[in-house]
Amino acid sequence: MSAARTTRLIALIVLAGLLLTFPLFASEFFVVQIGIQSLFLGLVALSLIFLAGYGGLVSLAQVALYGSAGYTLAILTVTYGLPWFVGVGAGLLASTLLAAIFALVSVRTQGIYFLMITLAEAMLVFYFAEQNRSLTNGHTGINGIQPPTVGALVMSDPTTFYYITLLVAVLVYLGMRYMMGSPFGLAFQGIRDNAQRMQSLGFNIFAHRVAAFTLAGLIAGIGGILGVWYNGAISPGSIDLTRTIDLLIIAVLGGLVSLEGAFVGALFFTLITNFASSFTDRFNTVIGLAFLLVALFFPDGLIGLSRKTAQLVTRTVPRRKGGLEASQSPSNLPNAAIHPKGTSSDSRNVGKQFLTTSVNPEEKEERQ
Amino acid sequence: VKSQTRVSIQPRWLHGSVMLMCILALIATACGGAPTSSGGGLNTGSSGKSANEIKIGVLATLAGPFAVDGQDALRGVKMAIAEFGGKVAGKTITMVSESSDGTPAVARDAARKLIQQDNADLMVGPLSGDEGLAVRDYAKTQPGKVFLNGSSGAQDTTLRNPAPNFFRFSTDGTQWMAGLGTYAYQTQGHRRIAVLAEDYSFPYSQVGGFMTEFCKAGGHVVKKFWVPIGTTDYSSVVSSIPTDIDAIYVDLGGADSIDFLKQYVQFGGQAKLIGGTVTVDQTVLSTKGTLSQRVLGVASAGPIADSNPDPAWQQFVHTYKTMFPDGLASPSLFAFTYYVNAKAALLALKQINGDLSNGEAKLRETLSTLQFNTPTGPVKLDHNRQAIANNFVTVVEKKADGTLYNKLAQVVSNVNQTLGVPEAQYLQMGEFSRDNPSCP
Repeated sequence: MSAARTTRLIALIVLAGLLLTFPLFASEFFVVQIGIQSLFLGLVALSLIFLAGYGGLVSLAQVALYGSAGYTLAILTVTYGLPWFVGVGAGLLASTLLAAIFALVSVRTQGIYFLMITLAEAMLVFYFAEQNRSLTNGHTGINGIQPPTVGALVMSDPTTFYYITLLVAVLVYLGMRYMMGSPFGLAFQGIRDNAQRMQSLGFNIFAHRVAAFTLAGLIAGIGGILGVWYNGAISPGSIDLTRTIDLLIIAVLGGLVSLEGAFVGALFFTLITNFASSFTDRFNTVIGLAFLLVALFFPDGLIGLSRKTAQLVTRTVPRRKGGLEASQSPSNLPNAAIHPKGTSSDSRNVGKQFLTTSVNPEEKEERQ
Repeated sequence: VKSQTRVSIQPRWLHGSVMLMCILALIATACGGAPTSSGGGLNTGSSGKSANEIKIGVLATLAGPFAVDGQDALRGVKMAIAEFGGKVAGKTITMVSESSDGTPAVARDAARKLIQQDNADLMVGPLSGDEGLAVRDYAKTQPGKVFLNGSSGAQDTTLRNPAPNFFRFSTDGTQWMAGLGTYAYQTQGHRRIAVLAEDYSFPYSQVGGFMTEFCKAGGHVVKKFWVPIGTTDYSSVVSSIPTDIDAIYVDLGGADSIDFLKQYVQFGGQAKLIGGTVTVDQTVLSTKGTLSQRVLGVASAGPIADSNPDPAWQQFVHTYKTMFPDGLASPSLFAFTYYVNAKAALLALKQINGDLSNGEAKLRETLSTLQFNTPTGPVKLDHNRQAIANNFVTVVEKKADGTLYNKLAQVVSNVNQTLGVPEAQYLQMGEFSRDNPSCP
């Protein structure tokens, strides 16, 4: 276990180092278009994964909530010329309140019905932006939104903006991890696994779901503020059905089973959308195929894939070298990944069941 | 419940995911290579280029509703490069293309990729109006690179708040209407008309251009209907069109136009029709069905006319058909505008011997004063780097084999961006919108 902790620590330090030094060795294009974009898209995807993976609520309204914060910021700062912090505050408030209203309408439903209602909510926001010309400037949208300058912090500078986005993303991620371990987070997951049992234990299912959806609205709104600063503009095209589906793709690519999957999915998505077109004209086919492959073979997304790879590595290495030696070697990073197996109680995911059943027989062999 | 559920959020996958993020980050940075040097994007790794090469980045919509148009736009650039034998001043011209889906945010990202990652020396594009505004704003952040328009026709891209390094050798949506208002009033004798158009910037420009002339001639636009893009049911519009009008000016694109025309026939609409630049273009005219009787004689206007007898145009059509047997029946205005903008760039490069030093200063200077003959006549730029060129009024006619085409009715020479109105006075009229201009 201590070896596992060490490897985990090393991996974390390497990752933190990479993220922190990224602007020092990567070109501006990579910092802006891959780095910043992955981070703010990851934040919005995080809000979806939180709802879908931990609450069983697959929401299609997250991009619309992202847009509601973005539009509020754009309207207040550009149209009315108010200071940026008023726009940010009002934007976050707008997405949070709108999420609460959406939740009141939708969370009593489940499965496909929840999906359809949140889709309707998303389209409501889209058409409002498209057709309420006096407020949102219709199809053209609002241009010329500048990231603010706070004291010595010039946020329109790509490197500064990258670090601010990174800081926000890390804080939100850590906050959400902490929240998932809190009584509220645990109750939320309990409701996903067995709503009736949780109700009979005295939990208010409706209230928990509304609260979670509202929180997800706030997170999507944070992504929206950063996204609008990144694009310098917002138009209905930023929150249309294509963008809604893109976010679902990001979440599924990353894996609906863990919060960090949001950022992995977003990074993978931005890389593939930016670079598939360099190799082929049929880049949309490439994106579609990648999505199909992940959905078919790795239902837990890239996170699930990496976990599976980790298991394969740890199961082959000890055989060659002997288990003890390998587990002490710090180069054998994913070694500990198999430890918690069998203690998992969740049955929400076919993929996970598939994994456990396919791995177990071999493990028994090893034990014999 | 507590201890068991907790397991599912514990760092069981953290090892794997952290590993994976590291790997992805490493891949990302491996592609990224060295940081941009102070010269402004000399080399960012994956797409290095030799000193004997000039790279043109082309931005067109290869996905989304304008995908067919985007394909044709690329053909236009290829024609221009082929015309120069793929070389200018001994340097090889290479083309790298990026796609957007017609939304400003995607267009901006694609432009950034072309300039900052693919190392294009100059860029041609984008295709649609709102994209143009986004790319113009991006161009301001890259003063050392030259941007040429594709076919985007929003007037404000160059009229208000222009970028010093954004050049538009194609005319805009308002200029494309030149001649039509006068033609409708004088030749066709229309006095009172209604307007039906999609509710966004491109039709605002077109309606504005049409009305500027039509109202000045003495005509009246008694009612305007603005519908969202993608409207399929026009029954409420058709039923509320006033009866005491001579004609309806219709500015709808593609499927919207076809839907309206069909329903208008079904409801027995009697008023004559006048079309915007894309209302009766080749994509609409080639539709099977009962449209033909309705659209015969519909007047419209634009930067090209299919039947233009000018030998230069005929030669252009011939080259297009030879180079692209699988292309459209006749080059679209997208192929034409991308061709003209790319050709302008190549001509200027030739004049300066491919010298792109000093932040492409020579190229900007040469482009500003460049004049040349396009397949539709001469083109030159005004002080906002916006084209002054010919425009064509056309009427839908039927060929002997039954196919419909736009017959050239009138050529309007050297149309400038303010349609002949002095610029200060034109700017005072304000941006075209739903309510501006107005002459009920």
